[in-house]
Amino acid sequence: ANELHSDMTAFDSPAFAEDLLTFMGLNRIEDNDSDDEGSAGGYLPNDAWHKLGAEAETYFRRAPSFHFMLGSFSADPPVPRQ
Amino acid sequence: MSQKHRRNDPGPSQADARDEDFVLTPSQMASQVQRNLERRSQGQVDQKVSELVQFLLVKDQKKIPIKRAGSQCFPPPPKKVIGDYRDVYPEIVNRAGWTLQKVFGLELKEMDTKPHMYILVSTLPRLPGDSFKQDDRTAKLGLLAIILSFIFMKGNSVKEVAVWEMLRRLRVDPGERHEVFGDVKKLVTEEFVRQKYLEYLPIPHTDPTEFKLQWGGRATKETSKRHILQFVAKVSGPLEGWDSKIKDLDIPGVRAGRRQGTVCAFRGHGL
Repeated sequence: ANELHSDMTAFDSPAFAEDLLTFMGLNRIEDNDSDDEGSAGGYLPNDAWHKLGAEAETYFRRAPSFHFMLGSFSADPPVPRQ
Repeated sequence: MSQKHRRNDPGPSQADARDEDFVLTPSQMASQVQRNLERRSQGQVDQKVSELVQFLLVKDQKKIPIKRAGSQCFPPPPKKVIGDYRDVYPEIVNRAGWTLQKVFGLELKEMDTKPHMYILVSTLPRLPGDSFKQDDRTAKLGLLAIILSFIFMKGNSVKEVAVWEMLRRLRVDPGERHEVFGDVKKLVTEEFVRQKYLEYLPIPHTDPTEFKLQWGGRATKETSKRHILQFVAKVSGPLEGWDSKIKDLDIPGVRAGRRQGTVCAFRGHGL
């Protein structure tokens, strides 16, 4: 259990983050690693997060949800049956 | 039609009975329910079944779990749906579960939290390129997968600040509006928590209080450590020092990918 714990900290999150950015299609032009990232995502393509999400979905058993507009507006309560 | 004219129901008003008051033991069920069932037309019962299916699907829109009341093995009857069909409710739930499974490929699952809650989970494997619609919920799942990966790789529990530190590298900052996620702090610490994807827990003896993040009940039902590990491997390729993760998966009790039983074995009906 001890060595397990020492291994736990071995996860290299900066490297993971880099790999994620690569996966998401980061455009590596003059990456400035400053603290204030201004309007972030300037280098990421617009669909970066959607692309990652589409990959992620294959590891989940998430139920697609059912959406509609007809009948979804709240009206007065229905008239009680006589 | 106006809201102010609420007519009082004569007689024993079932509308006033709270959902929680309704508890049926399985033994009471079968025969009594069958008898009650015979008093109604097939069409009426079918109508109620489809209303309940619709209710569960609509409830699932926001992925907020449905709370259980009482000790029966199905969710509480939504009053508005069941109305005066409470006496055949178990049968209606059975058929609704069967419909969800056969028509939509969904399964009603119980999460072992207190209070007990139900969620809908897909029974069909997702494949790359299976042409599901992609929207912002897809993107949010990407963010969630990263957070779940991070929590798992760090030993199943991680400080909130560490998560933000990690996400900042991905141009996601809790302090500013994100173009896809909007208020990302709220998304992670409120929405994902309400949906039971994450647990957001105060760390004892910290002042000001710090929080830690862990996997929530829905995460363990919709995915598994093994799947998350596969996701990380897909993104990063095999990492060094993964032996510990593999070991974690082999510890009895945290074995991932274990087939969890469903709440109720829905009986098939020759409908």
